Amino acid sequence: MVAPTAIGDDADSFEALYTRTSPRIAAYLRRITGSPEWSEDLLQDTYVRYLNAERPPMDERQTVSYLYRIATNLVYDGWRAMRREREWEEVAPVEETRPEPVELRRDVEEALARLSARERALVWLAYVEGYAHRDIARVIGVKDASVRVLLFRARRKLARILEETGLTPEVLG
Amino acid sequence: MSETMRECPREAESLSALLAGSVGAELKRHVTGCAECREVMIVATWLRGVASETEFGPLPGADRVRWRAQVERRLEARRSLAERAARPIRWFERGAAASIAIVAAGILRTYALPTADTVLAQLSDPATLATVTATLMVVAGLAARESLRRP
Repeated sequence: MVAPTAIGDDADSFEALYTRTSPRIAAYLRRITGSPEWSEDLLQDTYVRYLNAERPPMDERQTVSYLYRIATNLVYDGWRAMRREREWEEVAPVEETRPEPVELRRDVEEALARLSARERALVWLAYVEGYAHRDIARVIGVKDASVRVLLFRARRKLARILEETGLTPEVLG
Repeated sequence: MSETMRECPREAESLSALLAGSVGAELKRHVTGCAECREVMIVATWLRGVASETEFGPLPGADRVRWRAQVERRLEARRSLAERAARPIRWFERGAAASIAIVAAGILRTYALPTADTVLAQLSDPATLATVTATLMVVAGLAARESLRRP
């Protein structure tokens, strides 16, 4: 456990934090967005926003949770902007076509793409990161009490998708 | 979805054991017979497999990210400096608009509206009406422009 302090305020501590946390945040962004290129941009944006934010002193766990929150907000912001752009393009069509943010290429991508962005974030934070409901609520911006129900629904949906697509893993092998 | 929510009190324990990589024999027996814990295990096992297989190119270095953060901080500082510098200009513009309105009102009072009794008679003259309308439109336009420029 790192002592509560502003982690990342100097070059060395930031580098250490980045090395420890960026692969996890990168994997989260990659799976939530479904786009390798966009998730790489978002990864940088997440840490840039972290560095430039006025942060209260946080320990390691709070810092990682804070990074997930920034990353999730950036994804939501990006989707909102893309939706506005698509609506605008429907009114004023342009020649240029932009790549879809979600690439559906593999079974895994397809299975995850059948969940909503919030469902992906929920199951990822709960079952990959092992976050408590309270922490998930903070990251995705919903009430603590809602997480229980939302997570149950997302988990059930994903379990059914895995069953339908034959991706159910062997457990307790 | 109107599905009834079912929970097992040992779900958290099952997940913790999976995350820790050691599921004891007794818990294994429970999970085998418990649909909820089994579902937790299935979803968590699959997602953790996905997480470990997630491929991404070389991540940008910490130096590059710090450099970008510094550049953005500088740009933000410049933007707020420019914003502060533009403040007197905006006040000057507002003052100018108010002065024009006062002068226009004076002109109206002196030439177009000499007395209250002659107002209607004056406005019935097309040239006077056009002058008054044009002046009011200019004043309204300046006021509207000012209100739109306010953040």
